[in-house]
Amino acid sequence: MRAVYLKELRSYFTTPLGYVFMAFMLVLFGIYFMLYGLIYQNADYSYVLDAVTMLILFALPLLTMRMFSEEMKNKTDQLLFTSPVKIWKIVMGKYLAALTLFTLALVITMFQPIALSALGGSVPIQKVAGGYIGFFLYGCCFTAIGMLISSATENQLVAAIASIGVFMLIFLLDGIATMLPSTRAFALGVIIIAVLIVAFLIYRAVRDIYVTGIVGVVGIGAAVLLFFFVPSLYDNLLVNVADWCSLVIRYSDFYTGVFDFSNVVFYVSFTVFIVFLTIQVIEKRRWS
Amino acid sequence: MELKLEHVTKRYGKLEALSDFSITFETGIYGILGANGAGKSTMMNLITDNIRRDGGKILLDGEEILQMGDRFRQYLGYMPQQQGMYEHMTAESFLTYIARLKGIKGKAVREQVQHVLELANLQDVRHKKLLGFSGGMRQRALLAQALLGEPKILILDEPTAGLDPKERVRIRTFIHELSQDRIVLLATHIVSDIESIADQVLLMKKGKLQRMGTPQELIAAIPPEWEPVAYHLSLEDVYLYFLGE
Repeated sequence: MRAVYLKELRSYFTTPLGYVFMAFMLVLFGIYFMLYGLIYQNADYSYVLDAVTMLILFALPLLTMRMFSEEMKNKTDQLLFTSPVKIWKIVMGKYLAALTLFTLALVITMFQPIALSALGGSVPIQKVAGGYIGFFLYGCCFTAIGMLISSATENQLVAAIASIGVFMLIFLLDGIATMLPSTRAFALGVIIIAVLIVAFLIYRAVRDIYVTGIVGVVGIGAAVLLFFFVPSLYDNLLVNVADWCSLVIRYSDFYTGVFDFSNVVFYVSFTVFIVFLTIQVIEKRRWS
Repeated sequence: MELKLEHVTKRYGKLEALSDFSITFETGIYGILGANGAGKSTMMNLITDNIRRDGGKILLDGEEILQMGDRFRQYLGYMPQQQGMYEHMTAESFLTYIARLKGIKGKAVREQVQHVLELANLQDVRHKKLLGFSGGMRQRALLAQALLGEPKILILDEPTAGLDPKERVRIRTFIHELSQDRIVLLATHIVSDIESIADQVLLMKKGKLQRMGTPQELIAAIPPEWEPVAYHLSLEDVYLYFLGE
């Protein structure tokens, strides 16, 4: 894993990609820092951490788009897969390298609130520290998603565009959910479709019609039974689920000064799950 | 060391790329001849554990390679058909990276990298980026990476494809020199590449082993009425006679 990590980290700096990413991040933070800290004379740096949440999603694909796409396109993946390194180590090596660069850029931005504080501004340290922790976890999740997308295509441009699309969808998820019908029947319909999709994915993975059937029947059966016996569960279900899953809403807790450990657990679990999915995708591609 | 394929089958949809294929490899150079689609690369990909087989066993000294997993890959040196490389790396850093992937540690990394650079005659260009390498230099760099970790099984897929005659001779000689105490599998459709160096020649067609033997045995098996391609019988005639191509 160390060899992959070091090689990946180095490769960010042997091509312009790493520099462009860091420059993008620093310029982005710099613009909002200038706006809030210097023009509006506001020492609360958490405003900056709030403002960059969406725009940063355009920068992260720079880090993730080439992670596996490039290996597949150049056929260097064959060298990796015939070496005695486990797939999870390859994935983790690449992921940690991307995360290191992201963290490095983030650490550099910390000079801004430090400077504000040093110049006499009353920076709310705890709130800003919480904001940074949240922003780091937020970046961990989106970096993992970008890596997953990169593992599914050998075209870097496709990986970048798809990443931005998926990032935007996730970013707007809770907003989209509020636009959907809030009736119980609609929520039931969405759940049935979700169960069918899960059953299909299970079938593709295990090719076992019985397992697929059991998952499908049990899932739909449970959804229908709940619909009749606990109907209140379906009130505003989609909005509630979207809010619970939202990476953005959870992040807002951090920069508004609420440190809820369950949010940390959610971000870490989400990241681990996406990294696990990436390992599965790579394993599957390798065998196909 | 013994690498055994027992009734190995691989299908791509309805096409049977390798059909109930059995063979035992021991130390030496095995030249694998066959037209495109004969099953050469499929066999190599199965041995390198890069594709899933549909049936049969592959055993290294009696142990299934799938169960050996990473331990099996430590015995393996693989030179793929495509010249996939990290273009922005120098030859030395590329080889250092592969050495580390192979689990070589500490001082041994530098020693082995120097050794394979010398073997592949890449010493003078070791600080040059792979991007600027010629086809022959790239092939030698790929061959060099396959040699790291002193693998006991060396799998070379079309190692001389696209090279000029001078480079081909150089690589051929190189392969011959490193065949001691190793199983070397060399797939190619360039007959002259293996004529002088292979201990055994496998003739493959449509996923099946048509015939196997030393070059002399195969040449001797051609009936006298066959008209040689050139002045005397060679592996070219064996290829044309047995594979009909």
